[in-house]
Amino acid sequence: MTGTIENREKFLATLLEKRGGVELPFEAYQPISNLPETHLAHLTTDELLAIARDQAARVSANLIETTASKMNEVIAGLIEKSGGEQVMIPTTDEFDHFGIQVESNQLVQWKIGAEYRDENIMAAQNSNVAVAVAKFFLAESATIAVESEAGQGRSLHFLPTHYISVIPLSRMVARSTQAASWFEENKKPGSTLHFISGPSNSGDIEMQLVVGLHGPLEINYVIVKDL
Amino acid sequence: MKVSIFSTCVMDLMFPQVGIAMVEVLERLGIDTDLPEQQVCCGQPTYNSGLVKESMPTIKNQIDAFEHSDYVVGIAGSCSGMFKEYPHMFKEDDPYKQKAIDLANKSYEFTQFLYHVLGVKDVGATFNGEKATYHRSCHMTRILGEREAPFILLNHVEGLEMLPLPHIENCCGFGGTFSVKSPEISEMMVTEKMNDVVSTGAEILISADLGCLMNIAGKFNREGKKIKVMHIAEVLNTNVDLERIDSVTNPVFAKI
Amino acid sequence: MGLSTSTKTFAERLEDSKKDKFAQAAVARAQDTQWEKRESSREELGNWQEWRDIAESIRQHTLKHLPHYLTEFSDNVAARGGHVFFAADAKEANDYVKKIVLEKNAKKIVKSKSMVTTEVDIDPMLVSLSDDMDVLETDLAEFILQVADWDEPSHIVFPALHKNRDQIREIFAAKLGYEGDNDPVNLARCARDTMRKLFLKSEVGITGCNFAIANTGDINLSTNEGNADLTISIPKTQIVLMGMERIVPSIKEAEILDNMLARSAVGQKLTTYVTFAGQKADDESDGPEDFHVVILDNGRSNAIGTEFESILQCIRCGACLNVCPVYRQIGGHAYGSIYPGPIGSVLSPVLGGYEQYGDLPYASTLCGACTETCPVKIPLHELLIAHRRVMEDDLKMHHDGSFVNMEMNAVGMGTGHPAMFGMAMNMAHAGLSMLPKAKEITVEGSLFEYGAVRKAPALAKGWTDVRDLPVAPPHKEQFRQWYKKHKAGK
Repeated sequence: MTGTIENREKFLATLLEKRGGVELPFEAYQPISNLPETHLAHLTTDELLAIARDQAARVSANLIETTASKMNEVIAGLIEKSGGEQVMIPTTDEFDHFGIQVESNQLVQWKIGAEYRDENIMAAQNSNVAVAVAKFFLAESATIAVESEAGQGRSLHFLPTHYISVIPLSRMVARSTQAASWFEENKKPGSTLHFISGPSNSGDIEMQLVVGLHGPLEINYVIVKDL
Repeated sequence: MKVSIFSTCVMDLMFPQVGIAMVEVLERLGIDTDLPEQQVCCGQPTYNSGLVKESMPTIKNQIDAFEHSDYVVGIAGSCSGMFKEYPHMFKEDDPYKQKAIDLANKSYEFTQFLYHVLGVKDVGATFNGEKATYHRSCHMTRILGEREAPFILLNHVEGLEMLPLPHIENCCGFGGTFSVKSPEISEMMVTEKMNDVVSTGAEILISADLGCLMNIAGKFNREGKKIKVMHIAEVLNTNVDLERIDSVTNPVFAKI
Repeated sequence: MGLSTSTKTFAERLEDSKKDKFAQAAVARAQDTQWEKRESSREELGNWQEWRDIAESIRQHTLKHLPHYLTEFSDNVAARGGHVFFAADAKEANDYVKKIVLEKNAKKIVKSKSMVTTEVDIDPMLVSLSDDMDVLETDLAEFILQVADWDEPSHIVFPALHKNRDQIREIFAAKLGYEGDNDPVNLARCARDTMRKLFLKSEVGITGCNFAIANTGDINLSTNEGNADLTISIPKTQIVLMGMERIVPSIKEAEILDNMLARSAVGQKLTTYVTFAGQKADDESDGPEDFHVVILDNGRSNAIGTEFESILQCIRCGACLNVCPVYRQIGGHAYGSIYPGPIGSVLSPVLGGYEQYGDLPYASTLCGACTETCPVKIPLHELLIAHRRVMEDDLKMHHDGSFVNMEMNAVGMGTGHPAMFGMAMNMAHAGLSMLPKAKEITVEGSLFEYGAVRKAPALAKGWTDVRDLPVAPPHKEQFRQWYKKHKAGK
């Protein structure tokens, strides 16, 4: 389906007129510096992880380092610590691929298909915990990059009270520049890309930090060092 | 080395002691000075009020006044900063464009000249353990880009304890004509500045800009509060110990 | 509300501001806290000036090729099934939003924080559409203002800066039945629960746009609270309102600006939620099925091709407010525009004209703190002078009063001519020494060596309304006379 565009010609004509009727010949943006690419890019994985650890604490995220063999135990422990109840997981090959198994007697899965809109949203709303895999982990800002797509909707990342992000260490990059470059070259699978750095928060009341507003009250980064 | 004194209209009209101090410090360092008679004002009061056309004769007069000078050393960071802005005010084909660039290139504020050009840090000034604080004027910091020289020179004054001024980055509320056109806002600003100065416990307030000093000192006096107010040239000219004066290194011609 | 937040004159608003001691203290505290956070986050990044150059180059490039990028962006939105409406002014934008809301027969609307929706005054229009219309501002600060009977915002980034926790507790108690204490955590939980219920029923979501990505048709939104993400997840219809200048070529440039924005606005490395989203894909279950983007001019094009064009580089970080010593004292409401502070003093006259906003460019000492902090290098204080020049020289408006202005012209005469300055030097002492003096001089040093004037007329009245004025020395004791004698004596 193609959408509509209204009033564009008139609007652009006004802009052209302000430029004295002369449209400047188009040339693509040429970066004037490679600073975004080079900043922190020379650091080793260990050095980046050290930055990420420090930064995670600054954004009130809980960072846990583990290995593939202990990963499922760690996830189970975090779910229990969050108070159990309903847990939501996406429908994705990545759980199998990385051997992620979520133990819960109240497990729900995001269903693929537009017809499950209300069902998926309410399931996310009623879930105490969500578990998902990060596409990238940005060391500088302790940020996970996650997509919303058919198998994991937008609500999955935002409505549950606790969020567990499984992060294969191989997906750690220096900063947002590397992630943005990847998404620029490899079209994102779904409609949406999120950079998430810690739990939702606000400083709107007397500038005092309150953790947990609209989104999750708590976020756990489970970094799996041998994945 | 010969230096032309850029006396500024405020110093010319109101504060001879400050100008005298500057000349004495320079001469003690072996600098020959002159005072071009034709100079008046840098043009900021009218230019910043938006009377740009009306300011051009003032600005051209200053450019002409210093045309044959080697160095132009000013007593106020703000006014020397204005000289640095002159080149933007003329179109490429204006004969004053190049003259304005020349003036900007040879202009320095007093402490800048001492530290960056003459390469001196200690000019021998001596106090008896007084506590002082320094107000960093906005135009000197941001237009002229000088954040270093006054602090280094003050740190080399013996017997003067420098205390940090809270909110040093904030304007005192002078702003040239702002102080007379927007007295309500200016009052709130200078009141906070005065309170910040008081909070340091300093006995002496120092600055390199007379406008700011007039403003803050005027508020202190209005409130009946005691403090000593000195231009940095006066501080550097106090009880000079000739033994201690740094010799002028080869002029640095530092790029500022 | 629209661009204008007040019908009072600037002088009247100043009086109000002076009385609001809490707001003054809150702004000062906010500035001090943000100063630390912002500067340390920039220092940690390193090479800040080079980052600014990069950010400036991106913004200037997109402004230069605005028609190209607007075309590319709108084509991409439409290719994904979305709708783009180009609005010349607030009325056109509102009419379009109104049409969509009525078509959907929507009664539950959620909004995430957006300056531009405030600029076009969308809330009253929405509320007027139906008796049972629920419009919810979901940013905590704006929610507080809404619950407080739609109080006006006072800061671009912290709109409820002027309200303290006790006031908020009282408002929540009266309007939401809140029974807890004044702890911000508990107040925030109350807001979360209230808003979550409404989110789940919402039919239309309205957002602003931090950056629009030309080559994908995505909208880039940043929030710490996550309210924008709920707004683009739950309702079936999303309407985006964006200023026409908020566009970047691709995600690569947006990413750089997002970094600059977070560090400048709140001293964070990245805002907690940075989202790139558009219309949902067919096989996705949540997100907007209907996606509308309203691209707004509303006076912005007045700046194109003029010396004010760089004001459109603004990324709405609010850093210039957070360093402005005038904003510090008078607060956001005094500006009478939803865009306060230095950015507002430059932008408001461009959008709304000099008749209404001509006072604002004079509400500055030209200290340059705004220009220095701006992450996209807008020469703000120079643009303030440019506005003054347009008003004085080009339009002959004399916005600050013709009396003072006549004297300023005299100052211009006096400072432009050495002979006239010589006469002034002769008269200064005589003039000042005749005026009422301060009885006691409490300030030591050479400044008040010749006494202090307590009450002066004309141009100096503003000065002595606030502080004492030093008396000039007699002519023979002036610097030039000393210098002549000094030279002669050598």
